Amino acid sequence: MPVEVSDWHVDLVRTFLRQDDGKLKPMLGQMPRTYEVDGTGVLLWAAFVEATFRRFPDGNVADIIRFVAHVRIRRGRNAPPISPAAAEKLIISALTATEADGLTDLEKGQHIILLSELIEDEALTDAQLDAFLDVARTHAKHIAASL
Amino acid sequence: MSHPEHVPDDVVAAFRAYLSGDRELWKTRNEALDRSRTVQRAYRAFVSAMFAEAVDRRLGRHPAWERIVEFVADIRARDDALADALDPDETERMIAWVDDDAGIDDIDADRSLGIWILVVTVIVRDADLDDAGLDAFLQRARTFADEVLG
Repeated sequence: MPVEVSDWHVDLVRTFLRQDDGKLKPMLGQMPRTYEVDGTGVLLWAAFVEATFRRFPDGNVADIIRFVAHVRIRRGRNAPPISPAAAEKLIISALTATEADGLTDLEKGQHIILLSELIEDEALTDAQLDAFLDVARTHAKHIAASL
Repeated sequence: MSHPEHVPDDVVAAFRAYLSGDRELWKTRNEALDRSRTVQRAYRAFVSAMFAEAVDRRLGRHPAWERIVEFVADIRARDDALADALDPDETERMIAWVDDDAGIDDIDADRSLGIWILVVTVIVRDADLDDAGLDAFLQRARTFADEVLG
């Protein structure tokens, strides 16, 4: 069955990016328990790709290194750690549409944290976030069609 | 097995050439070094001591984790070769290890030697030492290494 990105998936990702924990918790409870790639996963990756292109339009590696350090410092030493090498690889992978080699599943999942941090830096209005998610949803449809 | 009690003069001289930026002289002196295990042990102790001395000069004693993260990102962001050669996690742990004995046993000996040399090179270059300053730096590292070896 093809992966579909529904309005509900978009609402879930918007709620996550707005860090609206009161609304997010029941939504997460409604997520299907599956390890298969679903609409949420595809949309999160598509949003990450879009956010990295906005932040690093030139693909400058020095900017990527500094951003990852900035995120780790902002999150603090006691937050669940981000592997800096894995985070840099994920961003480069998103920018170059290549597979990030040698990462564990846990490290691959760090793109969700990085997406959240990229969006936090953007300080988007609600309308800007909706526009961002519209673009991400379009990317997600293309990704889903290629699965 | 016997160990030298001191870092041999020619090891110090080789690194003096390296840190002065005289790569030809470094190559000649480094290739001429005795490859015995005892000298290799002294070589490693000396590089480790230079690393500790350089980190101490640049970041002070017990630098905050945030400062270490920022410093490593700064040097890796300078060029792609440094970014590739210095794994951020390993380099940060190496710097923290100078003061807190955090475990670094999982880092391969050759990798750790490479990290030490690269970080020392960057810090010494940034410090823009004159001849006397470089000699003083090498002497302090040598004294520290001799204590470890002795």
